[in-house]
Formats: sequence, C-alpha cells, structure tokens
Amino acid sequence: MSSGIRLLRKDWMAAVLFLAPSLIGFSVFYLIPFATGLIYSFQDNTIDGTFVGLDNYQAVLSSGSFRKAAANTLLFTGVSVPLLIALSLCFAHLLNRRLFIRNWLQTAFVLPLVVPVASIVMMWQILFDWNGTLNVLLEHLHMGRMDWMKSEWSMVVLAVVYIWKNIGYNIILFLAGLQSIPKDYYETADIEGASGLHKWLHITWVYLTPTMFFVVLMSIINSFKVFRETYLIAGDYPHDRIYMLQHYMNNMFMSLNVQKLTAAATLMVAGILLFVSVMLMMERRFRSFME
Amino acid sequence: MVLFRKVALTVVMSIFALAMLFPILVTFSNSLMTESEIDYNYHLIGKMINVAAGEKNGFINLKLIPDWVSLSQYGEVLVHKPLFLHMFWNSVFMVLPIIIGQVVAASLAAYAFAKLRFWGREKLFVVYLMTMLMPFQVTLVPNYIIADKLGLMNSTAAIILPGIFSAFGVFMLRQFMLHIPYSYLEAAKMDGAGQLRIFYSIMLPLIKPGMAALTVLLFVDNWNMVEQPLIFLEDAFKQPLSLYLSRINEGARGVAFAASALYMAPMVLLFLYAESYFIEGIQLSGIKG
Amino acid sequence: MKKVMLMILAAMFVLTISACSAGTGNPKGSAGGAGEVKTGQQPTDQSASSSGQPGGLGAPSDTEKKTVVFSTFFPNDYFKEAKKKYEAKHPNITIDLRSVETDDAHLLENLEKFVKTTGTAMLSGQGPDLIEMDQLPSGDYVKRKMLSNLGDIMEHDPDFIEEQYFTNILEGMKVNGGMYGLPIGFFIYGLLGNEDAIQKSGVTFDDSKWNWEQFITTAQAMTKGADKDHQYALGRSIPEYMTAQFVNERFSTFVNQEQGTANFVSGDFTNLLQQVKTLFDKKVVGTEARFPLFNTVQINSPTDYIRELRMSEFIPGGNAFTSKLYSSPNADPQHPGGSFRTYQTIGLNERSAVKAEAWDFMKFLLSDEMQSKPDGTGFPLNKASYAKKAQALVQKGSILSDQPIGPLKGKSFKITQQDIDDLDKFLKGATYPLQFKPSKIDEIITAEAQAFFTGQKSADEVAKLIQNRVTTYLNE
Repeated sequence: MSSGIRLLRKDWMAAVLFLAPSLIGFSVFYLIPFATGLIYSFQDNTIDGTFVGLDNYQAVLSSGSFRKAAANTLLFTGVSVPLLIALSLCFAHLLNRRLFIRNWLQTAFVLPLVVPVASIVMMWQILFDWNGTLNVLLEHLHMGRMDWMKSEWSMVVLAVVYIWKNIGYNIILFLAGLQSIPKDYYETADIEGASGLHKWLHITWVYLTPTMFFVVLMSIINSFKVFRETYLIAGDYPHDRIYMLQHYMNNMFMSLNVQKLTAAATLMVAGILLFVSVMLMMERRFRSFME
Repeated sequence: MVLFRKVALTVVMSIFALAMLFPILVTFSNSLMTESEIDYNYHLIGKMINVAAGEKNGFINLKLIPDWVSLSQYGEVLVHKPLFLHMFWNSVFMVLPIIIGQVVAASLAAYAFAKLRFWGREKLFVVYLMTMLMPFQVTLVPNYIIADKLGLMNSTAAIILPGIFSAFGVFMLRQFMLHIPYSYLEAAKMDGAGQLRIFYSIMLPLIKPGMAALTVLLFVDNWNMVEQPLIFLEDAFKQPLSLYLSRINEGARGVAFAASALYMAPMVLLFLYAESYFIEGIQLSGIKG
Repeated sequence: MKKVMLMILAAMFVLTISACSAGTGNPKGSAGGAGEVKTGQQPTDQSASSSGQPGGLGAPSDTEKKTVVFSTFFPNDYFKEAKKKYEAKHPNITIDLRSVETDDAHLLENLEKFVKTTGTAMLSGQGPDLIEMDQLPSGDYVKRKMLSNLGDIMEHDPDFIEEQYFTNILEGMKVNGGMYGLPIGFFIYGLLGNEDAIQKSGVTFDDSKWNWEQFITTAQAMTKGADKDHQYALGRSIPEYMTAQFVNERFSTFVNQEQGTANFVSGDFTNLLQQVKTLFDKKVVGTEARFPLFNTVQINSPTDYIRELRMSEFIPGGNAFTSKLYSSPNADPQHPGGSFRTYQTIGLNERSAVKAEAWDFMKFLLSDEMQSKPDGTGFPLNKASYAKKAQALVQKGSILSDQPIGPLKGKSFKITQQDIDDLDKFLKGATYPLQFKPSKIDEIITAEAQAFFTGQKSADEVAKLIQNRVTTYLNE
C-alpha cells in the first residue's frame, strides 16, 4: 500500500514536470484570454466593466437572429459532421488497403487542405455564381438560372465545400489511427479465425475510440472555419439559410459589441461541452479497458 | 480475383480522387494562362448583365486548357512582386518554430495526460479542450492586452508563441498515446527506467504515425492562418503568405492562380514525404522484445 | 461536470486580477517612461466622469515629453505637414503618425485589417489618441463610449471659438446632442440645374425642403414636351441608388426597427421598384442623358464649384446653357437644406492619456495656418481659410478648365463675387449629413435591386431576398 502511494506521488511529480512547459504557455496565451472572455460575458464593458449578471445572455437569447444562427449551425454541424466522418473513415479504410498508386491517391484526397482561401473563393464563384458553370448546366437543361448562395441550396453548397476541404484532414487522422492499432491484435484474431466484421467491431472500432473522439471534435471546430470562405462569398448578412453563429459573432465583434459576442460564444461552448462530456464518458470506458 | 479487386478498387478511388482534385487542377491549368485570358474567362464573376437593356446574357467561361501555355503569371508573381517571395519566407519562418515547439511541448504534456496519474487530470484536460472551442473573436481582446503587456506587438513572437502552446497538439498526441497499453510502460518501469526515459525511448517511437500526422496538420493549419497575423502584425513586411491570398480583388485575379499554385507547393512536398509514416504502422511486439 | 465548473471558476478568480489590471493600460506609445504613465492616467480618470464637470482639459504641457499617436488609414500629406509644423512649435510633443501602407490590389484586406486592429485596440482600452474615423464604424465607437465628446471640450475651451468654423456642419454632425469627431474638410452635394430651361418652364418650387418624389414630379412638369436630348429630369443616377433613396424617404413603411420587422415583401415595395424602373424606362432619369434638367454633383472646393457651374456655358452646337446649384432632395424633415459629407473626421480616444495635447493638435489641424493651404481636400472647416481661398479666386477673376482634351480644353471660366455669394449660402445652408459609408440596409437594397433592374430577377424574388437579409440584420 505504502509503495502504491509512493508510486502515485512520483507520478504526480513527473506530471508536473511533463506538463510545466505546455501549461505555462497555455495559461498565458489561452487560459487567461478564455477566462477573460467568460468574465466579459457578465460585464457591461471590456474596460472597467461592472457586473451585470445574466443581462448579456438575456440580450443574446432574445435576439431572433441569434436563435436562427444557432438553429442553422446545429443543423449544419449535425448533418455535415457525421457525413464527413463517415466518408473519411470509409476512404481511410480503402486507402489503407493494397492499391495501385496508393501514395498518389492519398495525396489527392489530402490536397484540398492546402488550397488557399483565395483560390477556394475563386472556384466557388466560378461554380456557383449567377453566371457560374452550374447555371450553364441548368440553362442547358432549360431549368433557368438559380442564385445558389441566396437559396435554400446554399447550405448544401456549404456542406459540399466543407466536406471537400476537410476530408483530407480526417483521412490523415484516421490513417494514423489505424496504423496505431498494433498489428499483433489482428494476427491473434486471425489465428482464432475471426471474421472480417468481427475484427472490425472488436478491434478496429474499439481501438479507434480515442482517434474518433479527436476527429469528431476537430470536425466540429473545422465546420466553424468554413466561415471565412462563406464570408468572402456572401458577406456579413448572407441569405438566412447560411447565417451561422460565426456570422452573428463576427458581426457583434465588428460592431464592437463584446458583451453579446462573449455571451453567444459561451453559450456555444457550453453546448459543445455537453457533447464532449458524453464522448469523454465513452473514452473512459475504453481507458479502463486498456488499463 | 485478388488482382481484379485491386484494379477495380484503384479505379473507383481514382474517380473520387479526380473529383477531389478538380479545383486544384483548375488552379494549376489556369496558372498557365495569360492574364488577359483569365480576365476574359472570368470577368463576369459577380456581375449582372443588363438584359433589360437588351444586352446578351453570358456565363463565366471555365476552361482547363489554356489557349496559349504561358509562364507569364509565374514571372509576374516571382519577379514583379517582391513582396510575394518575402511573405513566403515569412510563412516558413513562422511555421517551422511553431511545429518544432509544439511537437516538443505537446508530446510532453500529452504523455502526462495519457499515462501519468495525478489529481485533476481529467478536469485540466477538459479545460484544455474548452479553449479550443472558443471562437478567436472572443479571445482577441484579452490576447491583444497580453501581447501588449509582454511587448510582443508587431513581432512574429506574437504569432509563434501562441502557436506553440495551443491545445491542439496536446489533445491529438494524448489520443494516440491512449492506444499504448500500460503494461508496456510498466515493464520498463520494473527495469528501473525513469519516466523521461520511458517517454523518450518507448512512447515516442510508438506514436510515430501520430507525430507525423501532427506535423502535417500543424503545417496546414499554420500555413493557412489568417486572423492572428492580421491583428498582431502591423508591418506588411512581417506578414505571412496566407494574408497575400486571403482575398482576391478583381484587379489581382490575373496572377491569383499562379500565386495559389506556389502557395500550395511546400505543403504538397511535405505530404508526399510524410505519407510513408502513415502507411508504415507500428508493431508492438517488435519493441517489446 | 460540476467539479470542472468549480475549477474553472477558481481559475477565473485568480486570473481576473491579472486580466483586470491589464485592462487599465495606457494607450500605446503615449508615454515614454514609467513615471509619465502615472501623470498620464489622471486626466483619463477625470474625464471618465467628466460629462457634467466644469473645466475642460487644461492647457497642454509645454515642458513634459509627450507623444500623441494619430492613426489614419491612408497616409496623408496634410497630416505630415501639420506634424512637422506642430512639433516645431512644441518641441516637447511628438506626433506619431501611423497609417497603412497599401496598394490597390490589397486595399480590401488592408482595410479589413485597419478596422479590426483599431477596434481590438480600442476594446483593450488602448488604441491611438487620435483616430481618423472615415473608414471606421463611428456610430459603434460612440455607442461604446470610446470617443470623447468634443462638444464638451469645445465648450470649456476658451481658445476654441465655434463661430470661426462652419457651425452648421458642426451642428449637423451631432449625435444625440454630443459631438464625437471634427472633420478637416467637407463636401457639399446638390443638383446642378439648367437655369434657362427652368426659367422657361415657369414652374416654381422650393428646393430647401423637397424630397425625391416631389423632385421627380416637379422636374417632370418642367421637362414636358422637351426633345430627346432634354427630356431627362435627372442625369448621373443609377436605379439601385434611387431605390435606396426612395426607401429611406418612407423608411417606416418598410422597416420597424423597434420590433425588428421588415416589410419588403409587399405591394408597397414591388410598386416602388416598378416606379423606379419606369422612371428609367421612360427616360426621366438615366445615366445616358445628354442634357438633363438636373445633374447630381459633389462639390469639393470653390474652384470645383466654378468649373461645374460654368462648364455648361461652353457646350458647342447651340446647346449651351447657364447652370444653377440647387439643394438635393432629402427625406429628413429635421435637417431641411443641403447635404454635406465630412472628410477626414477625427475622433479623440476617450481613454487617451494625452487628451490635452491631442486636442491642442486637433485645434492646430483646424487652424487658419493649416486650413488655408491650397492642397487640402474639401472645403475647410475654418471659415476664415475658406474666405481667403474664395477671395483669392475672385481677385484672380478666372480659372482654367482642367479638361486636357475636348471642347473645354483651354477654356477659362469667369468668377464673380456673385458666384461666391451663392456658394456661401450653400455652404452655410448645408445641414443634412450624409454618412461616409452607406448603411447596411442601403447596402443590401442596392446589391439585390441590381438583379431586378438588369432584368435578371423578378421584383418578387428581389423583394424576398431583401426581406430575408434585412430581417437578419434587424434582429441581431
């Protein structure tokens, strides 16, 4: 027992040393700003502000545009993130098999990651503009033009761009995750004569849990980053189908309304955190299984 | 039969790959057009032709094959726009320290989160995660105050230091370290190895695929970074290339494709190099013995 | 989860201290040494609660070393020269001019950078001491109390004599009784009318309080029966802007700001679109007009006024006519009279530690010494400087056309005291401020309406899009 405690104490000491470099920088550049942001959401001014309780939250929640943005964001993330993850997992599996020109194929899937914002915007305009290539097709089919970014279709366009851009991100992670599963496990299963599906469910799926957690959260975060391109295409007040929380928060920032900005952001973070806690629970099961 | 499946799968994947590559192919092929051809093809972007006044309606002209293959765009960007190359190197010297710093700091911290037992481990980890979720607009004002207090304004350190300490790498490497069973580490502990030694000689080799993925993704994220340099670097000569390509004004359309192609080049090289690490995989037994 | 929250709260508590103390920083560059930071902060604290307090900023220091940071978007020679002269007079004060280096290709991203950086700095309680507000959302700055009320400062400064400046402009710039910026110059807007044709038609009107609808009816009555070249009532106008102007005239019909509702999907609005289209179709208004009855003009200087006015007298082919400047229609009954737009409006950072010096420099920028320079853009705010420029013109008697080619090449325009007297009336009668940037709603209307006027979309489609986007804006 006493040796157990000693071991734990030693761990604690080591943990401090291992954590220290990261934790110091992290506190200065992330934790303090984060906490300050939280505080702003309860104050009426960024400088010498006074505490106003939940007033800012009330103001945000009573804004019709905020509610619309939240609903749009939930819909967009709720549909496109699972879709993205399913697609990228599928492609990662296929790319993990024996293929000709595998190296090149992998690179092809990953390349969209490196396309600069300006090029994405150009391509987007070429395809979806009023005079764009997609409308050429529609005109050929005698269907008349469509203003893609100002219609209900705009969110679909957004989802396509998001998936195109981020699939490589997740494929990289999944490939690395798949490679991190020790081959020994599969070999043992082969000896036991397990079926492919059985191996996938009991080895791949289980050992992919930590990677999956990471991929899900990063996909959500990256889904917020399509904002930059959307903003350049459709401006600060786009069609309300693609008016997202990022638009709301950016507009609040541009009009220097830090109170509503921070309150909206805190609500959003709290929402994602609920989801994160569920995933942490799943991960804990995996962990206890490993230990 | 096996060969047939391999061929079929390759074909199917190639089709998907082409679809993914389409915008990039357009970028490269258009980078070989002359400025006037680009202008002729794309001048209708964002325009409304006045059909009410009897003008003929038209379309954007998406083309893959240039009328004349010309390197004039590249010449224009590389020779006549000295700022472009300057910003290119700015990007390199901003991204490299971030990658090196973050890989070191994050792998140490990730090890603590994944494999060391200490009070508040999960809670501290959740705090790390939360900072990743906060939109940058929220932390901009406090970050500005901090950068100012530390005297970092208008210095690349204001970009590099936050880049090194973001929670991203810690989170990612922790996830990869979770894969490694405790038994491996404990065996080494029994042999009398200290934690640092276990970390260095057992853990690090085991998470090679994760490290490779981290390097690539860090490169991508930081090479594409727009918002931070916009605020913290006043001086145009200190700004990274991503800002050069953060918007395309109508006037600059003629060289945008070549500029984009050059922008992508370093990352393409990195991908081709790092890919082997994802495919290699790890074998626990090899190390154990 | 509960424990996590507790931990965050604890962390927050510790961090608040550091964050809050960071919040009361000094504007950057405003003080050289640590000792000066303290002296610098006192005026800040006072002015935070100074609205009703007697006494202004006091005299600027003439011994202590101080730096005033002055931030503009475009680099500007006027400011550079002012800095040189001011520093020569006040050796202890440094004017730190900051501007954005930009080329045309990167104008937009540099503008985005300027707006975001300045906003962030101001929110951090820092930022420059003096800011050129033209490119910035000055309304938001005022709402967040980031700018000093210059009205108060002026009132308490015996050196600042309001009557020396165009008081109608100062009055027109007030926001809820306060004044948060002083312009270096201003432009006036009006309609340049074909006086011969107006006289001949015999129609009378009062241009001091007409709106666009009334203008159109009046002008149509005057152009009745005119030939193809003269049938236009108004030139130099495009339908999208006309639409926005008409909407602003009946703003409450379309927008209810309190309830956050818009009413663009309505017969009212589609009729309005149709009405504007008819005006252009029937050639009442149009850009292709050769000799319209009225043309919209922006007048930048006395010379500019003479050129605009006299040009029509030199049109060849028997088409020459005399012109006269009239007030633009505007929808605001609060501000009858002409329209103006301020140029290089400068705001004073409420948290500046060198307010007295910054204000003194501002006064210098508006002093006769600076304002009578010939190269300033716009009419100078300083009346004496304007009078000097105008008198110089009258004495000269004529100016040359600035057209390098065409029928006007080399022509000289006569100037009389009467011209200057007319212009005077206009300058003193301009009370309706046009914003430097169009409002969000105007932007949305002009952007979407274009698709209707070019025949690409139907009026209903356009109305729906405007409704959709404006509603989002109103409900934020």
